[in-house]
Amino acid sequence: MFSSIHFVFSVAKMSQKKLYSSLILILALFFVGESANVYYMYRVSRCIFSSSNISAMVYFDRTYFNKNLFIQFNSNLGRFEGFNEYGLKLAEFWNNGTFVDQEKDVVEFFCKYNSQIYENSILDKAVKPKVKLSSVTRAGGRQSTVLMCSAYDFYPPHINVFWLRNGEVMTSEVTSTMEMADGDWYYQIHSELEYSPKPGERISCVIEHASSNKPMIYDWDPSLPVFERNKISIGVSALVLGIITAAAGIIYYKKKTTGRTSVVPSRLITLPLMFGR
Amino acid sequence: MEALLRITLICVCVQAKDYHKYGLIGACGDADQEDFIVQFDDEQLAHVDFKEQKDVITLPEFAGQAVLPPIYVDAKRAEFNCKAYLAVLREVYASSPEVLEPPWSSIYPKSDPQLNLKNTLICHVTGFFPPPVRVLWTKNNVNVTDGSTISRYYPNKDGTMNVFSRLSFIPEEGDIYSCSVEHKALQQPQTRTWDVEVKQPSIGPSVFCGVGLALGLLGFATGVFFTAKGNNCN
Repeated sequence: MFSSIHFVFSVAKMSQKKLYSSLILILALFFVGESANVYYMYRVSRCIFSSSNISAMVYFDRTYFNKNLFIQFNSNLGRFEGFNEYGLKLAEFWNNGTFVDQEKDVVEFFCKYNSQIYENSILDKAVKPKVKLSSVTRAGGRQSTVLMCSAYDFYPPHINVFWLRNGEVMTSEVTSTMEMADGDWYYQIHSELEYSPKPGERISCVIEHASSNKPMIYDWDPSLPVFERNKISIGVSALVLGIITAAAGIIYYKKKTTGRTSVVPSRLITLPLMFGR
Repeated sequence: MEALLRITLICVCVQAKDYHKYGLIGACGDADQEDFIVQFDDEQLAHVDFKEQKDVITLPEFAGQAVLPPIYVDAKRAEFNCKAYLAVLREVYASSPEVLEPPWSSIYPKSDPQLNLKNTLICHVTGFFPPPVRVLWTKNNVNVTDGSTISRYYPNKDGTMNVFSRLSFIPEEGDIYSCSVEHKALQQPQTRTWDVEVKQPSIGPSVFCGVGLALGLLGFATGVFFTAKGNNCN
């Protein structure tokens, strides 16, 4: 591949001298002026293939100047095509030279070899989304509830997010973003559902993605989150334990003191309790 | 006509199938701009750092141990050719009107924001031409320079560019972050803000837990006290 990248990005086997002379030859046909404009140029050499049939590969070598495509090589046509006056002249020049023959060989030397490397390391890979289902407060104090289903850090970008109400797909009141790129191969997506809650119904966010062979279903639980329920459980348990211990202690103490003071005249029975004797 | 039909058929076939793209992008511009990127399905596999004169591999973790061959030497050659073309083309198109497209930016966190947990803010800038853009970050109206990065420039289908700026941050309640984008096509910087609005757990369960524990402990102490007292009565 080392040589194949060079193969694609070297401008034929022309020397730099030949390169300049060919450009200046075409340049002579045009008016030359001065400008303070910003100029930017880029070249995209791209192999396009189907994962089911890697041999049916198309190669495009496109050169853009100031946002506009001005010349491209198309492996299906086997020649260069120009897209403006200058591009047409350059395409004609290159199609009659050796550069076109080199470009024709790129599919074999560059595309198939490299695409197979990356097909093995990337194409069969998928990363499962991290999903969060939450309720969102909206200004305006309406009676409806807004639920947000967010999926983070998934790959590849193609994903399908939809909502179910008691197993039925909900279409109205659903707003979703596109797959948003994080710029590091990973993606995120957000879907909002605005609905009027009814008691006993089940609302679910469903995600279909290459990382799972069956839909991932996340049910909305309107009750308190687990950690908050745990806090209440701890509080209740401590309170109950405290009440039981206190009650047991007091009963035990009463029994003991009642047993000991039974021979004392009735008017003194309360003294041990009052004065802690 | 036959050739045109053939192109159309090929395009239809490629579009209909689950297709993938592998390729190289070589770019150059005024003000010493230069880029060389290896891409797969519009994602960056590697790029060249011309200042450091080295390859930068940007494969994701899930790609495993894919071996990328060195690209710096070829990138250097590509840049030389790109600049040769650029020198000629800027003369050819000197009298043509300047192509200017303003950027559109959006700001969002990489993962679900949680208080005091490290996260990344993303400022995605797209639809602009020509490069470069300048992205400035602020936290509570104070400029932030540490922890911010900017990606290479990627071409969109329409020939405009897009770029990602990222800022590492730790969400704290009430903080307001912004990214401001400066570009030749903008009269003034385009600013997008994002504020830390992490849904706080309701205070009720915590109070209940605290009160329950306190009363429980008091009850337990009372029980132990009376049990001990009862034992002393013997």
